[in-house]
Amino acid sequence: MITPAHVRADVVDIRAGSMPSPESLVVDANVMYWVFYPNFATLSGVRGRLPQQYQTRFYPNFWSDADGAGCEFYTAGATLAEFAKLSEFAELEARWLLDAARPTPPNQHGASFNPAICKFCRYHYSVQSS
Amino acid sequence: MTRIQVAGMIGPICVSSDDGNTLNRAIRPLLDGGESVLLDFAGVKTLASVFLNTALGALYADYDHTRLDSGVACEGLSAANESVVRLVRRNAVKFYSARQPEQDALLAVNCGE
Repeated sequence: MITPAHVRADVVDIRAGSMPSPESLVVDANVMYWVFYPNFATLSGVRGRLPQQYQTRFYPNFWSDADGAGCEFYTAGATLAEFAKLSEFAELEARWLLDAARPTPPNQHGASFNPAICKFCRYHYSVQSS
Repeated sequence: MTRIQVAGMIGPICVSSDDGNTLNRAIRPLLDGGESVLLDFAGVKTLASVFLNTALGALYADYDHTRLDSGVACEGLSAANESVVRLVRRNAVKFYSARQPEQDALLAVNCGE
């Protein structure tokens, strides 16, 4: 189990706008997803229909402030691959949700979108698109 | 056609939804007045989809997509950012043309986390 004593990084509260920006940051895949993937959550804020999720508010604001302060951003190749996988999952889920047929493997009927259905859709829609 | 210098209005970092809203609010009266808008992204260093969703994508809630496709143009974008703009437009059309239950389902889409 990871205890606070194991954490060597500086832990900051990104909601506190007054905190100084770091000189450098290592970015994980989820942060990239919420900042750089055009997810539907941002559109929900139009007309005040839903409150903006914290991910689409605080991450981008913190990123913007840090970038403006000259912060350098780093990530790892494996993280970029993970970001691509997260984006693919979201893309396929959106397409599946709007598909009246909702292609589903035999043992997943009635299930919500999940990694097994995602894998099924990956091949189903790639064949359909080609 | 009215040109909006995005870097001049927002700055070189276009990431947050708050900044996206600022640009959105600048575009709307021009469209309401029947004008076309050219968004000039020259000088923008960082461009994120959260910003584009609120600046551009959210317009699709209130304006016809054919009006927006022809009436809001972009220039000064890298090839990568051009494809993000296309994706933002496509997702917005998909979202706002969906029925309420479908919209609710799309709002639940996340990255599987």
